[in-house]
Amino acid sequence: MKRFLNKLFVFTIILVFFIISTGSFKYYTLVIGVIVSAITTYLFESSIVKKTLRLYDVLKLLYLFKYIVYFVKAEIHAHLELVEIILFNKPIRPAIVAVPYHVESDYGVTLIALTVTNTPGTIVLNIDTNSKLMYIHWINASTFNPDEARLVITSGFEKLVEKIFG
Amino acid sequence: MIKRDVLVAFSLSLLVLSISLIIWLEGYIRIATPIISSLGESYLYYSYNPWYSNYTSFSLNVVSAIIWDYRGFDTFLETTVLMASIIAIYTLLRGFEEKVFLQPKGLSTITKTATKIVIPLIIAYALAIATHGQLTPGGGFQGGATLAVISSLIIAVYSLEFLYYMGYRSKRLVVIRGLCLIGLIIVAITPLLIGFILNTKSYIFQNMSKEDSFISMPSFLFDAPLAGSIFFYNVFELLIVFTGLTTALMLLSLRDVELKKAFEVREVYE
Repeated sequence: MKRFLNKLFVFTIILVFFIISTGSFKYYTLVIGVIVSAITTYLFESSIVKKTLRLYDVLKLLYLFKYIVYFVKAEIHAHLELVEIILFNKPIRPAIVAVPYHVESDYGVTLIALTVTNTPGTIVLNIDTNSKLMYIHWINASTFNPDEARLVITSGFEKLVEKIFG
Repeated sequence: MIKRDVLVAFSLSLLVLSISLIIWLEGYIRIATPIISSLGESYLYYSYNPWYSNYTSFSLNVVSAIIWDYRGFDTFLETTVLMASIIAIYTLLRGFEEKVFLQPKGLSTITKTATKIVIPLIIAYALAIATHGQLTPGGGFQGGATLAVISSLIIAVYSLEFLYYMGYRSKRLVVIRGLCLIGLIIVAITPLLIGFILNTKSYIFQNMSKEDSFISMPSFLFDAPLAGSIFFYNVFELLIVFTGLTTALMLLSLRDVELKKAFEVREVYE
């Protein structure tokens, strides 16, 4: 079968989600779950995972784990900064900065944008796919230079995302 | 401005406090009446009760048992009412054409990618709700409404044009809905046909065996109660509600160019 690993990957995720959402582990649930996940995999596999997966890609899960750890650290750091602003009335310098990104895949861009939005203090407003720029609203802009802003905000995430999604 | 903010914050916190107070009180005082009518009691007692096989429907979810077994005919008519309401939108917009003329643009890459991941999961969840309608809270209507979220997401994120690319046309959806309605009727009259062939008494919308008729839909599948026709009704209802709501969403988001003829027709009538 063509792209067998892709199909297996999507199938497993949907089946696991089905079982978790029903909350039962009976034969009835399993049989219906297998039918449902087979149909959805057949319909959506090609649009969800574009490139062909290989067995070697399992190692990327380790990078995903590393990403989560890094993300939690960044989150705590950003929260502390924001708490400082709120409680001690620290002066702020809100601005919208253009930040370049070098990730190719859609998933990579989405993951970076959502992480940046999720960390308090920065919000991705728009993405320009042609010139590869993210417009980020930054509550305490220390610099307006695109490359310096990239070093502060996204470069840490980007390195890991490039390893996960390529 | 600040005064108003404080007032809003205060009233919101009061609301949360009162709700949590009610929830807390529920553990100590009875808020609802403790008396259940004898009819309700009998439903609770018989809806899953293998020892009274003439009265039970083998459905752990009492609501499903009532909706599709004890008052199945009523629910069938409700389903046709949904169909009639969509026909009403049709007649209101009569003369519209569905045109594929734009390159679908939609929202940003981020939203599109996130939606792309979510859609298969919504399908799995909706089907889980519908197929487990006899075991856990849920059922065909709820599953169909959940599935229709997909269409609204696609219209909002990818644009209506993308639905056309995927092959959605309101006429096709109406045909599917009609077929599913016929499927519902077939399930409802199956016991009648079997009874006719075996030359015994049987009823329309019959689920489990009754005192004077031994014909029964399958009560178990593998190791879980299937509740006979309730499962089939739920699956058909899922498709009916999904196609119905999708048609309504598509008709409500028609563009100006597509409605041109409809407006012309209206002007002629006026």
